[in-house]
Amino acid sequence: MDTLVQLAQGVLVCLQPFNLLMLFLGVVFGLLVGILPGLTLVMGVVLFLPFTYQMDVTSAIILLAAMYTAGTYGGAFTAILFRIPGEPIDVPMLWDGYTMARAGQPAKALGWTMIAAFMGGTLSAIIMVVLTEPAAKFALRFSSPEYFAVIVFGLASVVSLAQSSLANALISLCLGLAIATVGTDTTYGASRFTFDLPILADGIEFLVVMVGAYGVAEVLTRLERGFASAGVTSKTTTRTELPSLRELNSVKGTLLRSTILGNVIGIIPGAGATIASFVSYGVEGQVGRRKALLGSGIPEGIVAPQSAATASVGGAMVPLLAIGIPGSGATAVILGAFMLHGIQPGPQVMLTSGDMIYAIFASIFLAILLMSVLGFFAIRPLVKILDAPEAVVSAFVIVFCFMGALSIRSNVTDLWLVIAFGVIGYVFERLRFPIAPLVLGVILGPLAEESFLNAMISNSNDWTVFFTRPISAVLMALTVLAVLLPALGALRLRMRSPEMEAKSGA
Amino acid sequence: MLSQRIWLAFPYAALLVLAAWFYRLAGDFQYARQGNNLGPDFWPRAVLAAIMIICVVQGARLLLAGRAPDKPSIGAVEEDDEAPRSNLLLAAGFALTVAYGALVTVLGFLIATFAFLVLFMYAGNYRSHATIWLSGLIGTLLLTFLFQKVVYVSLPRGVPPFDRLADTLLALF
Repeated sequence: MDTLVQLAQGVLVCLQPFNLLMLFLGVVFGLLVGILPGLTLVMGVVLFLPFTYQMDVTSAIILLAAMYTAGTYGGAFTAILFRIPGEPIDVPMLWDGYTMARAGQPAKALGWTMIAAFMGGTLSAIIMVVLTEPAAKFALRFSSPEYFAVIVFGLASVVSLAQSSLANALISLCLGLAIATVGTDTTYGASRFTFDLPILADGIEFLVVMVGAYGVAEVLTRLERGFASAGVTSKTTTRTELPSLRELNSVKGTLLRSTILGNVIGIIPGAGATIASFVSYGVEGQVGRRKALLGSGIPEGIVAPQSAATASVGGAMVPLLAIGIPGSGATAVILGAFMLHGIQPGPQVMLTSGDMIYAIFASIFLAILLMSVLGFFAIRPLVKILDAPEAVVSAFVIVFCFMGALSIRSNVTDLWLVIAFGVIGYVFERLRFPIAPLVLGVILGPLAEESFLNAMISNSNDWTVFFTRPISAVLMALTVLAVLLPALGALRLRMRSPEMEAKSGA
Repeated sequence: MLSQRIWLAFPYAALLVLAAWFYRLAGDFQYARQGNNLGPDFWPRAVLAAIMIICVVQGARLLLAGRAPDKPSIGAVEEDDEAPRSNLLLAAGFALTVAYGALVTVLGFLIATFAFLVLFMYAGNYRSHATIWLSGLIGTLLLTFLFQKVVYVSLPRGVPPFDRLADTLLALF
């Protein structure tokens, strides 16, 4: 009951004119970011970060959280209507969504998407509200060793879920951790890797790393390919037709399964909406009632990835708000927004600033509702954004990156750092080094170092403390599993391939 | 074949050298030691040592066995489906980006941004002149207004005589 009252108060905070405007803008821009193939969800959220500097923290998080939520939905329109997935999240939408549209039911496919996003998102948001406070209370038991262990687990999950090799992901993470050490050390006041440059004495802002590596690098990579995104080839209906209650009843198992799966995947650090969408589609192919028909344009093939993708938002917010560990790339940016306002999310904030936290919860419910309404009524004007030439959009994206850099400290050196990290991001892309571990390393590096050193000081440099305290020992064991399991999987795959080749040769 | 393997291992060798150099630099940090506590060099050195170890292992693997197969990538677009890379376009993009960084303090935000937007759109093979010039101009003015008057960010004014334009525009806003 108390939770419901606080949530209702959160809704009232969101309905204040400025917050409502931020919510609306967040949803609209989130949908547009999802629709535009050249702009990823994380990049979109990063680009809006500078606008939040002058806002109070609640409005800032409402804007970014609304963008994040709506960004998991917008790309489905173009995937279904034009076979253009705006985000990697929407690739599974091509298999059944686009097939259903080609079979003459685009309005129905859009209706299924809307229902999946709405129901998956709402159910996941309810789970988020229920889970976050107990998780935060549990996290109150944490001291330095537990914090260090939870950060290590989060970073290990990011590494193990990286899309390239494990070694490259580890190097990327370590580089991020190394970059985070630049500047004046907080314990001893020692200058580390500053080369006597005053701007480096304050350290390298994680923002310049994010804006450069995600924004500038992505635009340069697309420019190198001549901005050759697939064009819109056919105009079709942009009407939405909702499924009937009987039709809805037939997919309730898929909806529930995918929502829970999306929520759980969202909670795991590093596994965001894309992984939720693919895994959920894969699970539907394994256990779904009509698994044999998957790929032929059935509603389950739309509901599974969409509900899981939107449900991952609620899941990813739980570790962010309860422990201060981001569960996805977008929540890493939201963590950045908190930190820019001098707030380190975690159990203390959760329990002392309940008003703000419940306003953020409420904003996610309202964002889901608003994005569904816009998805129903405003698809036509939203997908018009695809008519904008990619060269024009990209030119503005890169200028936004520059302005983001100039906004940090009004110093041109930050602009140079953004450009430098843009180049590094581009090199990473060419060499297939994942960027997410680098960025998370920079964000969580100071926290990891601080909790590690505090644990060492409190325990006379006895490193076994991480393995003798129950919670940290469990987290460390999970870390080992998180790193070893994918490595073992890759090894098994490699051992199998010669066998398969030998068999096919015979 | 060997040259290809050396080429594959090169980034790891370069990183190894870089990490080793920073590792050595970490030994020169100036600080007052406090009992047996770990110093400010411990954490960066541990991280750099990890980079060096991974680079040695991965570099050796690539030299001995060639490229290891990548893990299947979720949501990734197949290379074959993408347009070919153009070094010329990339060089143009880099040159414009670096030129912006170098000139924004001289020309000021207004002129540098307008020039960057227009040139970047041309570099991106877009040829609708009216759209390019108009969107460049309107975009620059809008962004300047937004950041100077709404977000209150101090943007570079440039040096004389370019700063006059920024002053005139600010007076108009």
